[in-house]
This record gives sequence, structure tokens and C-alpha cells, in this order.
Amino acid sequence: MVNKEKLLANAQKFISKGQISKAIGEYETLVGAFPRDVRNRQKLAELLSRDKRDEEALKEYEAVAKNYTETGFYLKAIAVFKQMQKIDPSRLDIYHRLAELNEKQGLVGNALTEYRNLVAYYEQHQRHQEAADVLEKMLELDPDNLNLVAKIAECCMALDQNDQAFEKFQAVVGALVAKGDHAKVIKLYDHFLGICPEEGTTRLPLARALLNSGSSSKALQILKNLVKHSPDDAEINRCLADAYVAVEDFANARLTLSHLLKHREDDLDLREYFLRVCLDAGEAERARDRLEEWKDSFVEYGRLAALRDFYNELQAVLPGDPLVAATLADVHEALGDSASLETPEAPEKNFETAANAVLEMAIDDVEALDMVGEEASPDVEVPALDKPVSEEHPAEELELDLDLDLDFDPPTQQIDDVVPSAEPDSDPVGESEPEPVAEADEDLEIEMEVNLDDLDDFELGFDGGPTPAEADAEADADHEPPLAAAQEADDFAADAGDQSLVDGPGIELELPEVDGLDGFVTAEQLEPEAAEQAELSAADEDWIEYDHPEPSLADDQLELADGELDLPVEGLEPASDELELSGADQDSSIEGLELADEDLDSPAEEPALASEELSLAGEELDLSGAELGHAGDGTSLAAEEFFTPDEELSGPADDHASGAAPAETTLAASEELEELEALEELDELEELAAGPDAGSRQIEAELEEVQFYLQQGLFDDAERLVHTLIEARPERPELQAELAGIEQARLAAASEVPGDAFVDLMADLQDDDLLEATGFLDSFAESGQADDDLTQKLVSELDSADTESHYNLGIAYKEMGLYDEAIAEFDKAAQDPARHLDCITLTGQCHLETGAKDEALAVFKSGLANPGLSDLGRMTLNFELGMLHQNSGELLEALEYFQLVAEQDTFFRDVSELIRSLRKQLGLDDSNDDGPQGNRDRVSYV
Amino acid sequence: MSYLKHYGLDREPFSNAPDARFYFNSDQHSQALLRLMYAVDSNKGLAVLVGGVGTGKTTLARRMLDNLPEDRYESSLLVMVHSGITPEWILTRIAFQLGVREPAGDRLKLLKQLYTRLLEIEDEGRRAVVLIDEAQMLQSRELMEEFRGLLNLEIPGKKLLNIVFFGLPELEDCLALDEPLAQRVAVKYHLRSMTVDATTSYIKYRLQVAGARHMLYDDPVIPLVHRYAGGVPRLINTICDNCLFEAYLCKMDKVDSRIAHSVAGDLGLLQMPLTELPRDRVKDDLDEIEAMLERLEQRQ
Repeated sequence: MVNKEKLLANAQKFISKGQISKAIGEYETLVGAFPRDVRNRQKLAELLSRDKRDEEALKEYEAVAKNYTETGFYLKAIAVFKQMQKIDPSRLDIYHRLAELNEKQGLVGNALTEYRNLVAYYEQHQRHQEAADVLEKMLELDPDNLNLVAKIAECCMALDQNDQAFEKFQAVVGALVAKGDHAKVIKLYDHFLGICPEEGTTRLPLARALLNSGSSSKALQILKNLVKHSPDDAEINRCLADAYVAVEDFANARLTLSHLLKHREDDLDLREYFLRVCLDAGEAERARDRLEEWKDSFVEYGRLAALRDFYNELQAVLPGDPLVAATLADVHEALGDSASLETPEAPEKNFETAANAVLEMAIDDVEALDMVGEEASPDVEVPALDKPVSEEHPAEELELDLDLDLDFDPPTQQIDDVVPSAEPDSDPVGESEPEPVAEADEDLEIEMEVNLDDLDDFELGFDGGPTPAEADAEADADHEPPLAAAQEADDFAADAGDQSLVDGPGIELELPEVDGLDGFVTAEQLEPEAAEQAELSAADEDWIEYDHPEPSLADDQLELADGELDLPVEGLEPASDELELSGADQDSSIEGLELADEDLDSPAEEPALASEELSLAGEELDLSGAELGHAGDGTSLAAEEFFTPDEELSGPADDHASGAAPAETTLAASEELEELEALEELDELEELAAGPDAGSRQIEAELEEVQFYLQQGLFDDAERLVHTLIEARPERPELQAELAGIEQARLAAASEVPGDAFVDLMADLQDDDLLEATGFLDSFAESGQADDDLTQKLVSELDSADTESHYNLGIAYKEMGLYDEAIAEFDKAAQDPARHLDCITLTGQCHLETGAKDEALAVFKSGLANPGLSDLGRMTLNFELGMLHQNSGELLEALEYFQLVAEQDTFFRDVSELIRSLRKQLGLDDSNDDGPQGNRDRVSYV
Repeated sequence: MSYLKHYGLDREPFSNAPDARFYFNSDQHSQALLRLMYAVDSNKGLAVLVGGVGTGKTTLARRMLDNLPEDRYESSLLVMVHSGITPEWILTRIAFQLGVREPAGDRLKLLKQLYTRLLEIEDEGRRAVVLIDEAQMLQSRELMEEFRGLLNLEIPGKKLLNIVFFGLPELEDCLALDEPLAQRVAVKYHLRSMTVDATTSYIKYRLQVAGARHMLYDDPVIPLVHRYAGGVPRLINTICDNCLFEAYLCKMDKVDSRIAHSVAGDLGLLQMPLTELPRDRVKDDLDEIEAMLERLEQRQ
């Protein structure tokens, strides 16, 4: 019969004598006799460990841990495994068991720590698959931890599972980009660049990160490489533009944006960016031109403020530019910023704008010829008329020279008179016009609706006297009214008015589709003489040959000075009362204008032609008769808007041919040829109508694109584009030069880039401070602790609910003498306010157990410094401090702390006894002196 | 069977007899002692502690005397017991207490003897300290002038004698009898009545020193005691002592509020919420309390 008590007493005695082996013997006997007593086995294991018999100790500990696990004492089991881990840190199974047990207890942070140790071990031994498996487990516990995903990607890469690695890598990059953590993005690419394909946008985040980190040059280098593979990728190009801007290479930034705009021309943000870059690059004129081109869309999408800002900036840079000033004035007005309109230049600029408006509208008219086969837009934007140019600048003349094959005296009536107010009542054609030609809507937008059925009322307010044209023209009462000139003049007037207020509330001239070419001015409105004058015989296809500067007609130049155009159309307010259509170059001509229908042989056609050949600002207008001759009724050559598809080309002409036999014959003979010619010439016309500027601009734009390609080393693209240009414009010699330049650049680039510049770049990045400042992945392997603030935070959050488990585990560790581990657990548990004081106390005690008196002192005092400390907490900590000092032999200090406790509660623990004892030790014990204290000799009663 | 046995006490916890064992180092007493010791150690000359009846002046005086070890201080506590004292008498007594073996009858000779003795003390590296308890009894200008003369006993840069007065607030009037002396007060501290918290600690402390194993008063009793006693330690002692006795008579383990009320009524304290009375009234009442306490002491 084993005497348990005796064995224990013996063991204790041996231990106190330091005879560990003998004590082990006693405990072995005990364990043999009472195998289920875990405490004896645990003590045996502890003694074996102290005796350096690790294998045996581990065996006993394992049995203890198994018992605790089976009986549900997981925290104790963890403490035992931790003890085993200390004995043999190389046993991986213990890490696994610890991780599992911690996980089971909800101690996620501890579990992750164990797993992390495992990963470090596996990585160190190149066991990547095992590392990846452990990392996956970690990821289950901490799914938001990017480090883990990155590490898994790293393992996959090491295992040549590049697809999986890339997938994980992209997930991490995406998250980091979303967080704006550029430094880590760079670091991540540093690790995974090898698996990132060069094409596509895979490396774009790196470039963006570098750009945002201030490494613009490096970003640029990467982006140039990217754009080589994906020249049309919007994201890459946008980033490239940013990079150029960042390095203040505005020229290339502009080229890049220009390239982008080719594909996203409607992107107003991009447009703004482009304009900004132009301005920053000092290319104010370019910015102005593009702004003028885009301003309508800015207005349309409510970006008036941006428009104003740009123009304000432009005005500062181009102080004398009338276009800028005028548009700015309009923008201010549209914004309701009237004060800004008070600039002295504004009226003049308005005028200039109006002049340009006339040009543009005329061009538009001609361009509209391109609409053959398409439905012509019935709407023409007419600007607001609240500030007619003519009112403010009566002396100014907008001269428009018209080469007309008709001769008539233009009216001298002022436009003011000619153009009635917008009130319907004042319609001079009211008698025959039941519909208002124009009516003002509440938005101050006057919509001029022209009823072509009222063509009969057309009247050109010219002087009634016969014109030279009249003499040549065969007056034919059956002819359609000579509306073309009037109509054209009207259009012109409308256009002029339109442009007089470019962006302001406008008058919209709405031209409905009608059958036939009915003017919006009735025949009755024409003076009979004028009507007669207007009749032209267009029997011959070569009826009109405009050869500038020589007029085809005796008096073919329509001088619209002094209000020659009498346009009694209500609501049509011209921009100028004196319109002298003075084409700068008189060579503007309409060649080969063929009138297919003899019906066109009317005087009206001549003004129409005249308007067609408006020579404005040096733009050549070559109108072929083919384009005009298709008008079936032949009455309108100018108002192409009035064409309906049916009326275009030959179809409608045939319908009307019965009334126009000679023309019909002519047309029938050459119809197909004319069509072809018309199509060809339309293209040409379009270009010419857009003017030399437009043509040049197009080429310029294309050449900019070429420059963009060149800059990015996309020589093939550049070459292809130039070839295309050459095919289209063989006459442009500079294109050939461009081609040669590309070849040169190609050769130069080939000699400059020996290898993969990108790889060099990353090598360069290796030394970058930026990378050194980041501790993304490296820290993971280096440290067993939480390596990252993010991780730490996540783990803290994950663990927040488990403070009680940490507390209990800390106690288990403390009981087992694992004080460091216990302190770590108490640290975690201290987050819980309910456990804060206990944790501080226990932490201090752990420090005391390890002999770290100063640390213990600091812990207790830190607890006392807590402003929210309760009375009980204060007494507890003071008591602990008293104990600390007493154990250190600092009796006076101990007495002081105990007195502090006693002052609050004399009956707190055994503080009274301790005080009494200390006083006795310190010679302060006065229990035997019942009398009054003090030196009686020193006390005298007087 | 006394209530000591009934409550398992070693000694009376609330005796008003001076007993250093029961010295309760309350915050204000600690602060007062700190300043008085500073005055002595810095040879400031004159320090004054003023406090109402029963606020612990005498206790503090004795505590201070205990804190003046003979190897470093030649100290003496003179307790004034009547106000008819003469300057010669007090001078002789101070000289004797400081070690003048045979004080001369002649005042000048006595002063010389005293001066010589003070120089000896100084040579020994010690400081001469005289504590005067109940100093409000020094009610003549001559006495005050005598003390001023003593404070003038000095060597260049150093005073040879430090004097500390402990007394009731009337002490201020005595000092005013000799303005130059009043100006020589280097440190002055006023003892106030105790707060509820201090009263709680005070009672617990005294119970602990008396050997109590647990709290003998219900929680609501202590605020009542504080209120009836006005925070005056001596009155607290009186009330608490009577409460224990009454509870003992009632065979109670703890003093409850009913007992406290009863005791306060018996002591005539129910109508004397001291803490709320005007100052004049307090003074009158304090006299009454003083008289009552004396009667109680005589009874014991």
C-alpha cells in the first residue's frame, strides 16, 4: 500500500534539498500508483524537465495534455503544450496542436501566432506546399488579412503555380489600391513582377502607385512600356498623361490626351484635362481653338463654370483675343454674371463673334450639302437676338460678297427695319401667312418656324428696279418664285443672327421638311420686279459657272451693304443691319453648278447660288451643280435643309421633270455621272466647307497622333497612320517627311534600348527608399509577432470577444510557471475593462515571480495612474505595492502603502496585521505602552 | 463584561486620552507635520499651528515631538495649563528644558545661560526646538515680547532656537499683541474638521488599532457620526465610544443608526448640526462641547 502523503512529503523534502532525481523517484512511484492523478504526473514532468530529461518530460507532459484535452480543460492543455513547446521548439506537431486548441478556444490571435511560426518554419525549409496549407488555414481565421493572401501567392509562385499566384496577387493589389496604399503596392510588385504579364493593365497599379508616391519618372517608364502593348487602353493612356503632367512634360501629356480623345471624344472631363494641359503647356491658342470647338458641349452639359474658368484663364493669357473675350462675355451672360459683361471689349468682341458666326453658319450651310442621302436636320440654331450686333455697331459692316449670276439692286433697307421684332403680330407677311413665322417662347428662345408653303409670299426686299439679271433672265410667270436668293439671304440673316450670340439663348430656326422647295417667303412678298429678276433660265447645266473673282453675271456680286437684304420675315432678327458679304477672297466660286431642272431657271436660284458661294474668310466654296441640280422642283439650291431625301438627287427631279423638260433631258443624260461626281465633290466640299483650317486641323490632329505613337515607341502604329494619311493626302509633302522621321526614330530607339528597361527599373526600385520604408512581406517571415498594423488590428478585433479566455489562459500559464506567456495573455485580456485591474495585478505578480521587480513596480504604478480606478482597485494595487516592498525588505515603504490601504479600509485583507507586524519590525510597536506617548522629560506643564 | 470583550477589542478605540498608537495620519495632519518639520529643519524661528477644539493639535504636537530624535534635536514640549504665567517663569522653564542645569534667577544671567546652551546645541550639530501647546494661553504682551527676545538669539545667518505654537484660533489674538512677533511667523497651518471620508478612515483606523476584527458600525452610521460631531475628531471619539457602549448594552454586534441617533440625542447634539452653523454659534457650541467633554472625561 503506497502512502501517498508520505511520498509527497518525501518528494517535497527532496525538492527543498535540491535532490531532484530523488524527488522524481517519489513522484514516479506516485504516478505509478495513481495514474489518473494528473497533478502528480504534471509535477513529475516538471521535475523531469528541470533535470534535463526532456524526452521523458515531454512524454509525461503529453499524457497530461491529452488528459486535459479529453476532459475539456483546453486552456490547461494549451499551457501544457506551451510548456512542451519550450522544451522542444522544433516539434511541429505541437505548433499544430496549439494552433488548433487556441482556435477551438476562440483565441484567434494565439492560433495565428502558432500558424505563423509554422509558416516561418516551412518557408525556411522550402516546404512551400505545407506553408501554403497553413496559410490557407490562417486565411480562414483572418479572411481580410492581405498579408496572408500575398504569402499564399508567394508560395504558389515558389511552387510554379503562377496562375494561382497571379490570381492572389491581383486580389491583394486590388485591395491595396482601394486603400490607396501605394508603398505596399510597389512592394508587392517588387515580389511578383515576374508573374505579371507585360501586356494589359496588370502593371498599371504599379505605375499609378509610383506616380502617387512621387516617383513619376519611374511610373512614366513603366507606362511607356505598357502603352506599347496596349496603345489604345484608356486607363493606361490616362495614367500616362498624368505621368507626363507630373514630370511637367505637357507636350507629351497633350499628345497622349489627344490620342485618348480620339477614342473618347465625348468625355468632357478628358476635354477639360486636355485644355488644362494646353494651358499649362502655354499653348493658349490651341486651348482657345479647342474650346471654341467644344464649348457647345460644355454648355449642353452644364459646365458653364468650367468654361468660364477656362476663358478667364485664356483672357489673362491672350488679353487681346476678341474671340476669347466674346465667348467669355457670352458665358458670363449665360451664367447670369452680368457684372462681368461690363468690360469695354465685350461689344466689339460680340461683333467679332458674330462675324465668325456668320462664317461658321455659312460653312455649316455648305456642309449640310453633305447630307445627301440623309435627312437634313430641320433645325438651325439661331442665337439670341437680345444683343444684335447691328444695334451696337451700326457702323460696322459685315460684308459678304456674293458672286451671283443675277443682277439686282440690293435693298438699302437697314436690317433693323428689315427684320421685324419677334412679335408675331408684326409679321409683314401676315396677310398671307396664317402661321407665325416665329414666336418667342418663354425661354427667350425664338423658334422660327418657316413654312415652306409660304414660299409664294417670299419677298426679297430689294429695290424694285430691274437688275441686270432681269434682262438676261427669261421671265416666266409659271416659274417657281425666285426664292433661292431670298431664302439664302434669309438663311444668312438667320445665321448671322444665330451667331451673333453664340451660346446665349438663341433663336432656333426650325425648318420643317416639306415637299418641294418652298421658301419661307412667299412669292407675294417678292416685288414683282425682283421676282422677275430672280427668274433664271437654268436650262443649261452649265448655267452658272462661278469663276472668281469675275462674276458670271453682269452684276453678280451681291453687295449686301446698307441692308440690301430686305427680309420681312417676322422673328428673324439679323445680327447685323448691314451685311456686306465680302468674301475675303473673291475666288470663291461655285463651279459646275448644274441645275438639272429647268424650273430652277428662276431668278431665285441666283441668290441661292450666291449664297452658296459665300466666300467667307477665305474659304472656298465650290458648289457643283450636281449637288444642287437634284432638287426636283429646282426651286431651291441654297436651302439644302429643305431637302428631303426624296427630293434629293434624281428621284424627285424626275417627278418634277414634266414641268421642266429641258432640264430633265439634260439631267437624264448625265444623271449617273453627276451623282458620282457629286459624291466625290461632296467630300471635297466638306473639307473645303470646313475650310483650310479644318483640313489642316484634321491633318494636324492625325500628325499629333503620329507624334503620340512616336513618343511611346509605337513606330508601327505611327507608320501605319502616316501611310493612311499619305493615301488620303498624297499632295502633302510633309507626310513623307514624317515617314522618314518615324524610321529615324525607330532606328534611334533600337540602338538606345538594349534590353528590358522595365526589369532594370525594378532593379532600380530595389534600392529605393520607398521600398525600404515598407514592411510588407519581409516582416512576415522575420517576425513571429503580428507583423503589420493592419494584422494587429484585425487580430485585436477578432480577439476582442475572447478576453476571458485570454485571462483564463494567462492564469493557466501563471500556474505552470510560464510567466512570459501569462503576461502576454493578461495583456490581451486587459482590454476588457472588467478584467483590467485583475490583469494588471496578475501581470505585476508574474513579473515579481520572475524577479523583475522594477517591471512589477511599473505595472502596479501604471495601474494606480489610471484615472478611472475604483477605490477597490486602488486598495488592491496599494496592497500589492506594499507586498512588493515588504518582500524587497523595504519595510518603511511597505508600511506606507499598507497604511494607504488601511486608511481606506482597515479590514482589507490582512492589512491590519501587516501594519502591526511592520510597526513592530520597525520599532514602532507601541502596544505595550498604554500611556501617553512622548518623552515625559521633554514635556513640561507650565 | 465590558464592551471591549463583547466586541473582541484589545483596548478602547475611541478614548480621548492622548495615545500615540491611535495617531491617525490623516491627510491634513500629515501636511501640517510636514510644514512644521520644514520650519524647524530650516531654522525658520517661529511656526504656528491653529485648530479648533478637538481637531488634534495636542496629538500633533506630541507626534511632532516624537519625530524630533534627540540626536538631532534638543526639543521640549511645554503645555500651558493656565494663563497667569509670567515671562520669567516661562523663560526659566524653557532654559531648564533645553538643558540649562541651574537657571539663574536674574533674567540677564538666565538669558546668557540659555544663549550659551543654545550655542552648545548648535555646536553639537543639533537644533533647539520648543513646542508650546495651548499657546492661546499666552495672553500678555510681555510674554509675546519674551518669545520675540528668544527668537532673537541667533548667530550670524542662523537662528539658535525654533519655537512652534499649537493653539486654538485665539492664538492669533495673542500673536497680535506683539506685531513684530506676528511678523516673525514663518509657517502657519490651520487644522480643519474632518470630511466624511476622513472620518470613515479615522474610525476604521482606530478600530483596527484597538484590535477589532471587523467593522463595528453600519455603513449609514458613520455619516451620521460625522454630522453630529461636525468632523471634530474628539467629538467623533465621544460619539463612537458612546455608540459602542449603547450597542453593547443592547447586545448588538454592530452599531446601527438608531443607536447613533440615540447617543447624539443624549449628548445634546441633535440640535447642533455644527457643520451648518454660523461661525459665532459654532464657537459658543464648541465651548459647550468642551465643557461636555470635560464632564465626560471626569465621568470616565
